[in-house]
Amino acid sequence: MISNLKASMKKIYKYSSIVLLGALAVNTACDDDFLEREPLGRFTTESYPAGGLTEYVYGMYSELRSWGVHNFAFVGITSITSDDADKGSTPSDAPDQLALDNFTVLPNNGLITDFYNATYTAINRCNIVLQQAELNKDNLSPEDYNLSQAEARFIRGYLYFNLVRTYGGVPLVDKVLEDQAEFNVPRSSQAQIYTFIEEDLKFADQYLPLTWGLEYAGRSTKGAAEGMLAKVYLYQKNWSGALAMANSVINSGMYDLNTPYDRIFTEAGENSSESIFEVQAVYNQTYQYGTQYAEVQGMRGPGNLNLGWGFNVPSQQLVDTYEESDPRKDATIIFGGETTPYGEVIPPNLDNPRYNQKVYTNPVNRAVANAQNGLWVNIRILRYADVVLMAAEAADELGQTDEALEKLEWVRARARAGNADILPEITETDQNALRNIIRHERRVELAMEHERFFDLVRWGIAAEVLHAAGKTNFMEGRNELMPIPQSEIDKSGGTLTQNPGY
Amino acid sequence: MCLLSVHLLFAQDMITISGQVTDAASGQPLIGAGVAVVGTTSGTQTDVNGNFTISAPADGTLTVDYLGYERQQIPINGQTTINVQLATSAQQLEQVVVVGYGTQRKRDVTGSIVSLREEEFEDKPVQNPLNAIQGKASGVVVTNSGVPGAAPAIRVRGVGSINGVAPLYVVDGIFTDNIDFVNPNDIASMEILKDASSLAMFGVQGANGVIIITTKRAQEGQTTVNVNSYAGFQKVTNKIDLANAAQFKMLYNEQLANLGEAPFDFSGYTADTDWQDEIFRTAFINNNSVSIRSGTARNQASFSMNYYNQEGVLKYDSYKRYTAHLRDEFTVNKNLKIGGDISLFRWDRNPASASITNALWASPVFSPFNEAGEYNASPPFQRTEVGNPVATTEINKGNTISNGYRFVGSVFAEVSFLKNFTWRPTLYADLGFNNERGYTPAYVVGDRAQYNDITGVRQSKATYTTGQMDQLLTYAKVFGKHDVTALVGYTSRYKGDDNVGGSRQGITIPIPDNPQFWYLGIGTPVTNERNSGGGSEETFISLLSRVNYSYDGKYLLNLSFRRDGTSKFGPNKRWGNFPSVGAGWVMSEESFLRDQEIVDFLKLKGSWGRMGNQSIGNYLFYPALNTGVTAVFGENVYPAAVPEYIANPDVHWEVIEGADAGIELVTLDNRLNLEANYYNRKSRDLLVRLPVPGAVGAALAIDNAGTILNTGFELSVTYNDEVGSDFGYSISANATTIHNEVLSLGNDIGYDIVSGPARTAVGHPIGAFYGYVQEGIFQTADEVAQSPQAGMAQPGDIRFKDVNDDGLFDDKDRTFIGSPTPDFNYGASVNLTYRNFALGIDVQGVAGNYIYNDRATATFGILNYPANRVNRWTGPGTSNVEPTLDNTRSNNFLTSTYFLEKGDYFRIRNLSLAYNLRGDILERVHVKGARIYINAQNIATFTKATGYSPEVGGSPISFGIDNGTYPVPATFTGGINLDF
Repeated sequence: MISNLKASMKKIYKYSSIVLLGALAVNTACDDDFLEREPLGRFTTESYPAGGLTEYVYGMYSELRSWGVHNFAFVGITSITSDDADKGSTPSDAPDQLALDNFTVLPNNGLITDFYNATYTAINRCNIVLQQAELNKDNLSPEDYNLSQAEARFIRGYLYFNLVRTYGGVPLVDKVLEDQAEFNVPRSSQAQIYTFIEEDLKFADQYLPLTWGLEYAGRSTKGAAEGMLAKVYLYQKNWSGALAMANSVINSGMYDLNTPYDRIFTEAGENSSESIFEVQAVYNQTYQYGTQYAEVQGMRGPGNLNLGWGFNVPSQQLVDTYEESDPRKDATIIFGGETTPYGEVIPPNLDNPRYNQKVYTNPVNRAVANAQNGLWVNIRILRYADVVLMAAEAADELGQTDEALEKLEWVRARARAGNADILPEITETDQNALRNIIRHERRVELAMEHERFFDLVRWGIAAEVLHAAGKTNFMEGRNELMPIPQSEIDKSGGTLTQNPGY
Repeated sequence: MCLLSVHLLFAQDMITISGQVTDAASGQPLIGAGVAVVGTTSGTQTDVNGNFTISAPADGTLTVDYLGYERQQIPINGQTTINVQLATSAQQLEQVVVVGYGTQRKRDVTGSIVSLREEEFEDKPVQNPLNAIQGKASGVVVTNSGVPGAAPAIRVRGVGSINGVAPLYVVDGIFTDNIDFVNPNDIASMEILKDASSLAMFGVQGANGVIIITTKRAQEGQTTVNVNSYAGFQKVTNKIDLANAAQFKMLYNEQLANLGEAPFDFSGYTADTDWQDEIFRTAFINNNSVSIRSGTARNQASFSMNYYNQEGVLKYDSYKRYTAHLRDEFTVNKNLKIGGDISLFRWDRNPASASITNALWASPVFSPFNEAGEYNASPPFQRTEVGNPVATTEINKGNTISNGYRFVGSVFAEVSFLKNFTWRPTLYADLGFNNERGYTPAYVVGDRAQYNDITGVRQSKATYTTGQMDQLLTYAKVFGKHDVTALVGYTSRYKGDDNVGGSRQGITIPIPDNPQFWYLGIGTPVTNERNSGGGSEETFISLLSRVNYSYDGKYLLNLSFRRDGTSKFGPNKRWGNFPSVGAGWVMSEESFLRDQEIVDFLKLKGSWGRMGNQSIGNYLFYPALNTGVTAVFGENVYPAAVPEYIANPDVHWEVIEGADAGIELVTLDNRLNLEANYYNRKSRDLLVRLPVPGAVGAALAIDNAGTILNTGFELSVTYNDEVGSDFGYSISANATTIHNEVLSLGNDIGYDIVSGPARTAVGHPIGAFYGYVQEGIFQTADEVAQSPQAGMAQPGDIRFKDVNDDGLFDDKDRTFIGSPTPDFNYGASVNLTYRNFALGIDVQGVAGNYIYNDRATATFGILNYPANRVNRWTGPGTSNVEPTLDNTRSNNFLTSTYFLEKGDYFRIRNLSLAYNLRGDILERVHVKGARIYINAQNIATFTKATGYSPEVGGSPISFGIDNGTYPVPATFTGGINLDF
C-alpha cells in the first residue's frame, strides 16, 4: 500500500509540475505591448511639444490669481491686521479673520494655513520654470534662457518676500523637490531668506526688459524687480541700497504720477503709467479668469449693491488720520450715505459704516460681466507712488533731506490735483519730524493696500500704535509674525519649529 | 450525434412507466417535480397528486428533480411502476460553492468562504443585492448609502488598504466593479471569498475580497415561470435634532450678547419651520420581475426582465431601472458545450435637488414662502452663506436628466477531451454608455439674496468599454483514493473609457425651463462655450495555475500560483507573483471519529496566500501636465501649463499577505452548524497619496508606503430544527472582531498622514481620530487662571486635559481619542415557519467605533443650532459639557472629544412575514406556488450617534466623519411571488 501511495504521489507531482510549468512557459510568450498604455488626451512633460517653456512661464502667472495667494488670506494678513482696517462683514462671520483682526491667531487658523500652502505652490511653479530652462538650455537662445529665469526669479523673490514678512524664517525651497527623502525641509533664518530674495531680484533686474508691450501688460519688468528690491532693502534698513534702487526706477522714465488719485483704482486705471506690478484678471462673458480680491472686500448692500462679502473695512482711526480736505480720503473710503462717483447712492445703515473704495467697481462693467462681485479687478501690488515714498523715506534716513522733501512733494502734488488750498508743501527739515511726516504720508497714500501692518512692524512701533488703536491683544515679541500652520508642524514630525509665543 | 444513435438503437424497447414522487420525510406528494429520461429530451412533470407517466427505454435511467431536494437517478430495469422519495438537500455539506474559476464541494474547501442562497435576495426591497447581505456574513461590513442607485460600501476583514478597498465582483464569470445590472431576483447564490488562498486566484483585483454571484439556472426537465412584484414606501425615521424657532431666537441673541453686540430684531420672523420636513418626503418603491427558466437534458435557457422604481426620500431624487437577462447553455455532444449570456440594463436617475446641509443650516425662524407665494430670502445674518432650502429644492427640481445603458455579455465553450481534460475559453464584454443633460435656470430669491441671471445648459456623455478573455484548462481525475483537479489558465483584460462634455449659456435669449431645449445647440453661439473631453485605459494579463488535491476525502491540499502584469505600473515594476497554499483535515472521516454519533462533520483548515492590489488611477507613473490653466496680461489670455503632480516612476504592487485558520463543525444530527476562523491580513507597500509638507508646493501622485495589519476572529453559528411537522425554526448568528493597526508608514517618509481629525500613524488604527481631550467646562475665571489654559480661555470655554502633564496647554496635549473602525460587528437572524407562514427577523450591529461630528464644527456663518446647544453654558454650574455660545472662540472648535460620538449601533435590519399559498385554488389557475409577503427594513436603529445614520463611510484614511450623510430610510413593502 505504501508503494502504491508513493507511486500515486509521484503521479501527482508529475502532473502538478506539468501544470505549473505550463503556466510559467506561457509567461514568456505573452505580449508586453498590451500592457503599455500611455495617457490619453493629455500631455506629459516628455510628450509636451518642444518650446513649452513659455507655457510653464505663464503657469507661474496663473497661480498669482489663486485664492490662497492673493485673496482672502492676503487681505487679512496685510490689511485687516493693521490700524487702518477692521474685519468687516457681520460679527460672527469668518472667525479666522476675526482672529487676525484681534491678534488671537492660533496655529490652526485656516487663513494662515491657506496662505502658506498656496504661496509654496506658486513658488513651485517658479522652480519648474527654472528646471525646464536648465533642461532645455541647448534649445534656447541665451536671451530666452536668461529671460525665463529672470521672470521666474522675480516672482519667486516676491513670493518669498511675502512669506518672510508673514512667518519669519521659512523653509527655503529653491528647486523642484521630487525625491521624498528631501521633502521635510527645515526652516531657514530670516537673514538667509532675505539674502536669497535679494539674489533672485538682482538677477531679475539684470535680465528683465523695461517693457513687454501692451499685449503683455502686467508681465514682470525691470522696474518691478528694482521696485521690489528697493522695498526688500528698505525692510532691512539698507537705506542706501533702497534709495539707489528706487532712484533707478524713477530715472528709468517708465513711470509717472500723472494718473489722478481717484482713477488709479478704477477699471479704467488698470495698468496705468503708475502701475509697476499688477496681478492681472479678466472676467467677462468670453473669458472667465478672474480673482476674488475685490469680491471679499466689496460692500454687502441690498439688491444691485450686493458687491461682495464686506471684509477689510476702513477704521475710524484711518478716517481721523487724514489731513483736512485731503481728497484721498474720499477716494479710499466709501461712507454709508454717500453718492459714489458713478452715481450710486450707498444706504447709510449697512453692516459696516465704511467700505474699501479701492475695490469699488463701475456698474457698467458689472453689467458686461453679468456679475456683481468684481472678479475682474486687478490686484495692484506695486505702484510708482510707493517707490517714490520709499525714496523719500530712505533719503531722510540717510540725512538727504532735500531729496526726501522733493519726493514727498511729488506725491502730495498729485494728491492735491491743482488745488493750492489743501495739502501744503512740507518744509520740515528735522530728520525725526520728517520721518513721522513721511510715515504719515505713506499711510494715507497707500491706505487699505498691503503696506500698513508690515510698515508698523518694521518701524518697531506696532505694539504702541495698535494698542492705541484698540487692538490690545497685540503682544510684542509674538504678533509681529504669524504662527507656522499647525498642520505643517504636525507633518514635519518636529523638524519645523513654531514661532515664539504660539 | 452518438446520443441520437443510442436512442434509435433502443427505439423498439420503450415501455410506459408510472409512479409517484413524494417527500421522503413527510410522505407528502411533490407537485410539479420533473421526471426525465437520461439521454433524451423527453420529460414530464408530476401532477397535483405527485403522479407521473412517462415512456422510456427499458434499460434507461430516470432522473427526478425538485427544487430544494436532492436529485435522484433511478435505473429503470424494466420496471413499470417506480415510486420515488426525494430527500431535502438541506445538507449544507453537499452544497457546491463557487470558488475562483470553478466549483468545489463545501466540504473540500480549505479557505474561508461564506455562501448565501437565493432566499436572502428574493423579496428583499433592495436596489442592490449587496444591501441584502448586511449582517449575514461574518467578516463582512456593509455600509449602506441611502442614495437611490448607489451601491453600499463593502469591507471584507477590515480596511487593508489606503487606496481602494472595494472587493471584486464576479457575475457568472464576468469581472466587474459595479453589479447594478444584476436583478436581485435572478441570484441563485452569492459567495464571499475572504481568505488569502481563495482570493489568490484573483490576484490583481482580489486583494480586498471577492464576491461571486451565480444566477439561477434552469433545472433539467423543468420549465418554471416566476413573477415577483413588491411595492411600498420609504421614510426617514430619525431626523437630526435641531433647535426650533423659539430656541434659535434665544440662542442667537445670546450669542450676539456674548460678542458684545445688540440683539437681532426678530420681528417679521414669526415662523417655526422644520426644514428637514420640507426636504424629505415619503418615497415610493416598486419592483417587478418576470423570469422564465427552461431546461432539458441538453439545453438550459433562462430569461428574466425587471423594472425597478425608487423615489428617494430626499426631494426630488428618483431612480428607475430596466433590466433584461438572457442566458443559454447548450450541450452539443458529450464533449462540447457552448453557452452565452447577455444582460441589458437601462437606468434613469434624477438626482436630488434638495441639499441636506442646507436644511440643517437654515434658521427655523423664516418660512419658505411669503404671503405673495414668493420665496423668502434667509435672514440677514445668514443670507450669503445659507440659502432658502425650499427655494433651492424647487428651483433645481428636474434640472438634471441622467441615464445610461449597459450591455454585459459573455460567450463560452467547454471542450472535454482525453477523458479528464476540459478546455474552457470565454470572452466577455461590458459596455456602458452614460448621458447627462442639465440646466441652470434664471431666478431671484428675495432681493437677490440668491440669484442667477443667465440660463445655461450642459451636456455630457461617457463610454466605458471592458473586454476580457479567459483560457482555462482543467484536468480532473480520481484514481483510487486520490482526487486531483488541476487548473492552468490565462486571462487578459482591457478597460477603457472616454468622455465628452460641454456647456453653453443663453445670454441674449434665455433658454426655457423645458427639457426639449436642453441641448448645447440652443445656447448663444461664440460666447461662453466650454467643452472638455478625455479618456483613459488600463490593461492586465494574468497567468494562473491551481492544484486541488484530496486523499480519501480526509486530507485536503490546495495550491495556487498566479503571475500578474498591469499597465498601471512602470515597465520595471509591472509584474508580481502571488502564491497561496491551503490545507484541510476532515477529522470526522477518521476512524476514531467516524462511528460516533455526536459529531457529524468536523474539519480543521488553514491557509496562507499573497495577493496584489493596484486600485489606483491610471498613468500615475507618467509625469502628466495640467494644461487647463491660463495667464492673463491686460485683457489677453494665454494658455499655460503646470505639472499635475509629482510623478512616481517606481510605484509598484501593494501586497497583501493573509493567513487563516479555522474549524468547521456540524453536530446534533446536522442541526447545528458552527464555523470559527482566525484571520491575519497584513498589507504592505500600501498605495497611498500622501499629503506632503506644504513647502513642497505640489501634490505627490502616489507612493508605496507602510504596512497595515487586520486580524481577528470570525464566528458563525446556525441551528435549525423542527417541532412536529408544522413548526420549524432556524437561528443563525455571526460575529467578527477586527483589530486594525498601522505597523509602519514607510522608511523614507518623515511625516504622518493627517486628514482633518483623522490621523494615520504607527501603532494605531488607520484613520484614527487625534485631538484634545475635554475634561469639562470652565465655570469661573479663577478656574481658568489656575489651569494650563490661563490667558487662552474664558469661563464657558472647554477645559482640556493636560495630557502630557507639563503644566502647559499646547499641541502636545493631543492624543488618539478613538477609531472609526469597529472592534466588533455582529448579525443574527431568526426564521420561524409554521405551516404556511414564515417569519424572519434580521438584526445587526457594530460596537467599538467612533464618529466625528464634523457638522458641528462649521463656523463659517450663523447656522441653525443642534439641539444639544440648548444646554449651553450660561453661567457657573449650568453645564459641564456644552461650551458657551460664541463661534469666535476658536479653542472650542479644535479637534477634540467634544465632537466625538460613539458609533455603536444595534439595528433591526429586516422583518418579514410571508404566507405560502397551496392547494386547489392555485391549481385552477395553473399556479405552482404563490407567496405573499410583507417586509419592513431598517425599522429601528438604536445608537447614540446624532447623524441620520451611524453608518458613515469615507475614504480609507478619512472615514467615520459625519458631514451630513444621506439618511438610510426605513422601508415598508408588500409583495407577491408566483411560480407557474
